[in-house]
Amino acid sequence: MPNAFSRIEDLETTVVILSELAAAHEAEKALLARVACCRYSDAATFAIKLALEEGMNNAIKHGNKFDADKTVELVYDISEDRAIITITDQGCGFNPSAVPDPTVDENLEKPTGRGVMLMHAYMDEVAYNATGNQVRMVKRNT
Amino acid sequence: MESSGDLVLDVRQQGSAIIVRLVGAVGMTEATLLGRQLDELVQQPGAVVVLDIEHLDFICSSGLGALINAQAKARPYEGQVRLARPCPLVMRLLETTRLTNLFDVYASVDEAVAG
Amino acid sequence: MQQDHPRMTVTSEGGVTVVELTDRKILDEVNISRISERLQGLVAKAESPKFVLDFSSVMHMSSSALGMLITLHKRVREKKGQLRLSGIQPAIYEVFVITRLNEIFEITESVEKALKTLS
Repeated sequence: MPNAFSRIEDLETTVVILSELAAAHEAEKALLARVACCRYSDAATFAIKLALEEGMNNAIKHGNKFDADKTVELVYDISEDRAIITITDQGCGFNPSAVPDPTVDENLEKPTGRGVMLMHAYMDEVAYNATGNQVRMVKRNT
Repeated sequence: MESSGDLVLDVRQQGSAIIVRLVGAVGMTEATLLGRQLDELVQQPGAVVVLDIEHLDFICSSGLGALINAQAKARPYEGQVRLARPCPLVMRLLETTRLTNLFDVYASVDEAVAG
Repeated sequence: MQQDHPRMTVTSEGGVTVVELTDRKILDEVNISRISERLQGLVAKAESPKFVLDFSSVMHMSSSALGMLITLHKRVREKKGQLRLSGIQPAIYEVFVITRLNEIFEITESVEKALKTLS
């Protein structure tokens, strides 16, 4: 469906930031302001904010490891029917299926894996590229 | 009272318990401050720390990490971190992460203090 | 004064539809939905529609009107048309900047300038 893709590209906003939490916060604010314009429910807004925060956190901390020479690219397309968010870092990627399940008893107190699990739990679609340095997430406004 | 970014944190004593009121949102930036504050509070013998989260409308995994850390640090001191009055969205998050197994959640601050 | 219907003036200039929103305030959800329906109706009728939406008279606008504009933009693009926004007051433009929608919409100072870019 090439048409669907060209349509989506028309509304995309691309933001490239340094690997800093403050820069991520600014970019997230702009995205969430757009979500606020598009009349998402409180639950959907919470889901988008959470997945965005987790995705940016992973990109900066685990992907780029706070390397000042590396950047994170945030691309988003928010409309009244759905939000599409793609986050790409310049790290060497990871294997999402190798992340331990943080909800089993023996992992409950471990600090890792919760972000990735939450993105899957709160978004309608979550997909990684082959390298594992890019995540694309979709939330539908239902 | 302390504030960091989108979070305001207010600590007070009620009987033998310490009540920490969290207002706003805990993202990655705020999680660090929250962790530091809680670490100090829980490392006292028998400390009961009640987090009043009625007006906490957002918390990410880094923030949850700070809570989990505090609970783990309270244990050798025979203390406990308890949660009071989560809003429905935060309650759902606690259930999704199964952290309801790690924290006792109460409908009011008084009930949380009583345990 | 209570408005039963949001007001707009629709004119056609050399194949370009110019829609002037004449309410000073676009705040009410029901009004925004009505504006949205009417604009989408106009777009649906047109073949590769060329639209200028003039905001010169609008002093206050709810952020959910921006959601309506995003949808309109999508519909126009689906029909391989073009949309220009013009005459946006500084206070409203600020919201476009915060949401970075100024990067998505083509915004001109006046209807005249918008028409020149649509030739």
